[in-house]
Amino acid sequence: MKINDMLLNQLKLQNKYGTKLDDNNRNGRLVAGSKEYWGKDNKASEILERYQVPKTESNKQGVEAFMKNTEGENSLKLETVEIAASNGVEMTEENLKSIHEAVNSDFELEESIEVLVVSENQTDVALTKADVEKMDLPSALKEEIMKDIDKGMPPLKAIGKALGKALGETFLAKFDGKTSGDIQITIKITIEVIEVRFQQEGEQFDLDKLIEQFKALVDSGKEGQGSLLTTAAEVLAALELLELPRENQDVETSGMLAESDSIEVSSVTDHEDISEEIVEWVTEALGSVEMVAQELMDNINDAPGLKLYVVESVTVKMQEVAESFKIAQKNMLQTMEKALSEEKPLSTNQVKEVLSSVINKLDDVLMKSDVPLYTSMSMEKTLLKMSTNLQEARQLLAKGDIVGAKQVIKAVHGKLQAAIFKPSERKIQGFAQKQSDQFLQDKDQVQLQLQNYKQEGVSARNVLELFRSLGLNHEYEVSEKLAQLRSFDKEMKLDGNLKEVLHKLEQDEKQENKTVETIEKSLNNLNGQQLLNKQGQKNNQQTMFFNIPLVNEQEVKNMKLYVNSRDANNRLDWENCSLYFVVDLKAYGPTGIKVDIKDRGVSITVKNDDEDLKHVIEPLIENLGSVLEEVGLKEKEVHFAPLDNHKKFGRNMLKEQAAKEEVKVQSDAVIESQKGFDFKI
Amino acid sequence: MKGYDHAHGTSKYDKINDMEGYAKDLIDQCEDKSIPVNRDPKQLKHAVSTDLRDNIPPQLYFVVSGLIDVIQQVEEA
Repeated sequence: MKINDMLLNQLKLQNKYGTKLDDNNRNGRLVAGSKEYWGKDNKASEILERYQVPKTESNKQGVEAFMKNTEGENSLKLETVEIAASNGVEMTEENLKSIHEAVNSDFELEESIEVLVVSENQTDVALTKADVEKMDLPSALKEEIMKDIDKGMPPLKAIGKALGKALGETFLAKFDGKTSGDIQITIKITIEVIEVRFQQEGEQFDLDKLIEQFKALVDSGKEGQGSLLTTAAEVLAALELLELPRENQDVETSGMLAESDSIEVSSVTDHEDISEEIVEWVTEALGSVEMVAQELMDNINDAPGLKLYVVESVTVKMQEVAESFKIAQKNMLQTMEKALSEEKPLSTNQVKEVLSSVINKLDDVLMKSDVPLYTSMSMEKTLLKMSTNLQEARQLLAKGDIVGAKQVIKAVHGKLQAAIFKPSERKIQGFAQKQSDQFLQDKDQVQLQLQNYKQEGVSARNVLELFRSLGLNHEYEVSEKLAQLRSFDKEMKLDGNLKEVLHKLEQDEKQENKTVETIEKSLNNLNGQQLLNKQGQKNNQQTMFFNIPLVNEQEVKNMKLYVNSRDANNRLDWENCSLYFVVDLKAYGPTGIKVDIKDRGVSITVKNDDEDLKHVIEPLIENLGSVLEEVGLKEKEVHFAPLDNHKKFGRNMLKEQAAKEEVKVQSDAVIESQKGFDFKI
Repeated sequence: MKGYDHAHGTSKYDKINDMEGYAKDLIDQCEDKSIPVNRDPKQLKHAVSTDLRDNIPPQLYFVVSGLIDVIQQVEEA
């Protein structure tokens, strides 16, 4: 299992289950079971009335059980009931418990990972028949393997035998007698290379030719000078041996783009160019030994043939991403051209539709496609700014300024046309590392695909990926994939997010008590966050809540993020919303940072009792202002205020009515206390 | 397509009235295919109502990322 090194080292040093209970848990003790929580004068009952939650028997039982069985102060538990009621979450004991855990405890990332490491070491792993069934292999090869498995041969051996046969037995002969280590890895790599190729090329796939290439590499490695393929020259040699799949996707050419258009059609539309460029970029990123991460080099040195697979899969992947960007780009350009056409002018409503369609597509590229995962952060910002600009155009249109709106569309069209997908070197290397790690792991386990939790630079997609890697979108994506797969009858690939792996462990009954406790606590926390983020809350409001792990060299700490926004068609309104970050800073203690966005103007209030923080954070926030401007936001004001009851303030943001009052009270207090403190950027 | 439309459009369940029925069905499907998910239908029905890729616009993620960056820099200073 590949986990952030820092975290692993940390885990080796520590072994302190259950010692990190937060203040609330420490103070809280089991409440006596005899107490009544539902009486006429009781607060829980009053809360439900206030939020118009039906006082059914099941709601009553849920609230009572939660109040009796969950540890913690009564006032905090009542607040949990209120937050659940305000968010329209059903009043079951489990729901309330999860929300209570998420809101009042930190998410213990280290402990969650620790149970995985411990449990992984206990698991006995072997390739299963089901794994082989899932493999996307040429049918003849697969049939042969399955036949042997059905006769009772272990799956790995059956694969090895089939490959050996395909390779004229020489393949297996090299590893005669060995049953583990090199041979397993080599067999896995070979089978994966075949899978990747087969997926790409379908029926045109030529197994013999690939095996020829592979054999040549294995031979050169075996005869060679120490370990296999350790030099840049050999990488280049491997690349030369690669027969890259040619694209056979039939992208329809644009009939809309007039030859005489002032903006030239960029070279991005030329398939051949992409192939060569991608190969060049991958070669550049992986070609120089010094540039590649040491760990990747170690892996490659230890596992013959690995580099072939890595280079091949990285190249194919980048090719796919470039292609998908090109298709989306073309599609968006064509859609915008409809709005710009002078021959067939569109009605205002039609232009509005064009804008919504392109904004959705751009946002999909940013949030759902692989493009931002492999390209530079500046490309992400460029696309983000385009989405913002088009939203401006939509507003112009709403005001009746169709000329102004079209000018914006034209400008965005030009920028998008000039955009080209270029993978960043660091991200190619990161992907290569991941590919290599996956091969050195056992395939039949649900594998934790942890992100590097430490954020590098400012990127929208990185934050989304952090949430996804924790599993906060897990169930939604599973339901989506199952709906998509229904019509294809294909196996679903597991995602490897933290929540998925924890659920798998939870369902495994062999766990020790302590492990079960940690798993439950972590899952409660994640489930609680998901409940708080449910759509369709009351009064056209949407609140959200996250526990964000902050990673630095010494430790992992938890930051709470509360979001309160108008519900704009099942979406948060990013132009008008409030965010509140709560974190305990190493040098400056408890801190709250409130971000209010109004008509894209950003006001930031830092709440902290240490005067020194102001000097440190002020220039950083000033710098943030210019970063935000790149995507169309404007930083307007920065305030500093005393800490006050900052945790309560955050929780209030999750309750609609109270939040509004509290925000108002707080902002008055800020203005009062800020004389001589405020500054504008 | 926002929210849980995919569930709505392809199944026999009415998304407003029977999200719990949908959740139970989803749990069964996941059990069949050994996909680990939250098996409490009263939690799952809420969890599948949100797609973090859709419900939060990229600009807002960007702001969050900007603040994380500031806080990380303060921690490292």
